[in-house]
Amino acid sequence: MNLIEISNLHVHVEGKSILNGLDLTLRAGEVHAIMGPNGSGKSTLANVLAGRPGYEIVDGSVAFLGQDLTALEPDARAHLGLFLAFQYPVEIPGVSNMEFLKASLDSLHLARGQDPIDTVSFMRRVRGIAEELKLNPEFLKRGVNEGFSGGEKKRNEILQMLLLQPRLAVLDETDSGLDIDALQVVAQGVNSYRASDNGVLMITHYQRLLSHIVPDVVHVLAAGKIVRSGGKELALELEEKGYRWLTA
Amino acid sequence: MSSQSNPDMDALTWSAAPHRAWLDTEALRSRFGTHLESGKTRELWKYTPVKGFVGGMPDRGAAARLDMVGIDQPGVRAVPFAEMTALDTEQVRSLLSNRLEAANHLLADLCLLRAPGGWLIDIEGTLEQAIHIRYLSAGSAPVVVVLRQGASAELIEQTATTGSLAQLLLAEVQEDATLTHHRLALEGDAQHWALQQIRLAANTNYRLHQSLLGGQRRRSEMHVILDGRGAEASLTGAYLVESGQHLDQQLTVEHRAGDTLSRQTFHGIGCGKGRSIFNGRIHIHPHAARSDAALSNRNLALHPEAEMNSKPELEIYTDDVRCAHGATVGQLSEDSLFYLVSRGISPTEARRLLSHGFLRECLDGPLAETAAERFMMALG
Ligand SMILES: Nc1ncnc2c1ncn2[C@@H]1O[C@H](COP(=O)(O)OP(=O)(O)OP(=O)(O)O)[C@@H](O)[C@H]1O
Ligand SMILES: [Mg+2]
Repeated sequence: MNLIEISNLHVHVEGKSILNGLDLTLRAGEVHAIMGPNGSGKSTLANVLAGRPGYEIVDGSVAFLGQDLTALEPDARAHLGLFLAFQYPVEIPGVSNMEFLKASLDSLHLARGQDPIDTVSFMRRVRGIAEELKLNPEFLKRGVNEGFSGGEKKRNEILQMLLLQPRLAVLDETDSGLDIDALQVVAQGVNSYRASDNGVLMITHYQRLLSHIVPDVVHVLAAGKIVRSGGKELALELEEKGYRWLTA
Repeated sequence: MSSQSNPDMDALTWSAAPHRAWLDTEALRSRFGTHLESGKTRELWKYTPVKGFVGGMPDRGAAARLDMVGIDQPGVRAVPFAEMTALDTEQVRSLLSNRLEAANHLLADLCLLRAPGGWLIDIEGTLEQAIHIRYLSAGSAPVVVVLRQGASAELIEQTATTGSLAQLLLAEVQEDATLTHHRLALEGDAQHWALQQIRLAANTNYRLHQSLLGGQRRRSEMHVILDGRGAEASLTGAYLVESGQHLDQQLTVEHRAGDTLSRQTFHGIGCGKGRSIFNGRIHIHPHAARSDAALSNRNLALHPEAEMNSKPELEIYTDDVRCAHGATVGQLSEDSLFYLVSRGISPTEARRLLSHGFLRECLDGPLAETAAERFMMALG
């Protein structure tokens, strides 16, 4: 079953063409990695999938679980099971993590016609995940990402993924800025999330992550297109040779 | 001495005038007359027409009824002006006449002229319980607070009247003393004038948490004077202006001594066709070397016809200082909004969370929940 099917996607940002005919299909149970030079359009793709305003889709289509994703508002995409772990998570002082996480989970339950989770079970669940990710549960009382280190912000993204249990998780450089131990913790989190009915689209610059989370497919994105796709050994080849041989 | 435990409420409403003997009313009157017409006054009252405001001030002889809790604990002496000792009288007279500069605080003179009395609250040592003053009726209410050397107190002031109220609070914080001050005024349809003037001697610490709603006309003047080495002030405030409301805040922080520190953080939201003025002045005097001052005033205009004015003013007369000043008027951050909706939260709920959070950043202390509830009611 296809979780997501992107065909011939063309996207403009401020009148500039950033994605130029991108194709990608990810099936349930799969992990795909996207690698590529800085500025090639990786975050653009992630943002377009999540529905960030300011991106103009000029051609192509995106089907998520058989639905036209581009017709949905960002919150409706999340309700359907899409999740983006941001490359640069924002800090929101004044709104506590706890309040934010509860509002997120409640909104998914509401949209799916499920009963809201009671506060005690919610707290237990969040604390459990925080422990798994070695995040001090004190962070729940603080503002969203407020004063978090780079690595803590990334772990908070994974915490949200584990709490919200999306069908497709798009991870935009979640490994960047993590120390070696944190990388392992995050990788364990992602591996524990993997299941036969969900999928991961993982943007990364580093082969190292892929030895912890083994991808089914590795894509190379350059100048707004997938220029090469292969198995996990492609990442090793890239590590050795760089991108030039593919983009020349 | 709360109103519940003390049936004799007359003790809290002032009989006319024995205290006036020591107050030079003639001088006050002529000073008021001169300053009413001055160019400085026009500048300080640019957005709030002064004559209309004067017209709405409490009548002569009208005393605001106060409810005071915590004044019968050890270390506190609360005395009506009319019952002060000769020593008290001399101190209050000198504070009121020397400290209030009519050029900047025109209505303080009017408040004193019209008030039939007032209170001296004299504090010694570390108080166990907060002093909680509630302003229950229209009228004028001058209060002089003296924290003696090394004293430590928490002062809560809360308005509870839709009548015209004039609050004049003068606090004299002596060496090594600490004052934590909470202020709340949430009546949306009142005329309300307030001046808090706080003088901080050496090695003192002053903290303010203030929450204000716009009023029919509300003017809040806050004047903090760091007057001794090592004095520190930290002021935070949240405010909200709804349709038809007016809120004029004048904040002045003066560093008159070196090695002093001040931090000011004020967040405000306009959520209807109303007007907010925030004038934040930092004044660093010539001998106040190594002063460190920072003022941040952020405003959100959440309604197309919300008028949010923020004017920073810096007067710095010495080189060896650190001073940061930021004033912004804007909208909710698109990035923050997107972060929330990408998690499934509806745009309406996301705006609500963010605007509450923006004000909550500046809420703290025992009145925070009351303020938050009122603000949330306005923000939906
Ligand atoms: N809002 C914007 N306005 C103008 N140009 C933009 C905007 N957002 C992205 N771009 C441009 O689009 C291109 C692709 O950016 P994108 O962030 O998708 O790259 P990336 O592949 O994620 O790079 P990196 O590896 O550095 O994260 C870049 O040239 C960038 O400057
Ligand atoms: Mg990127």
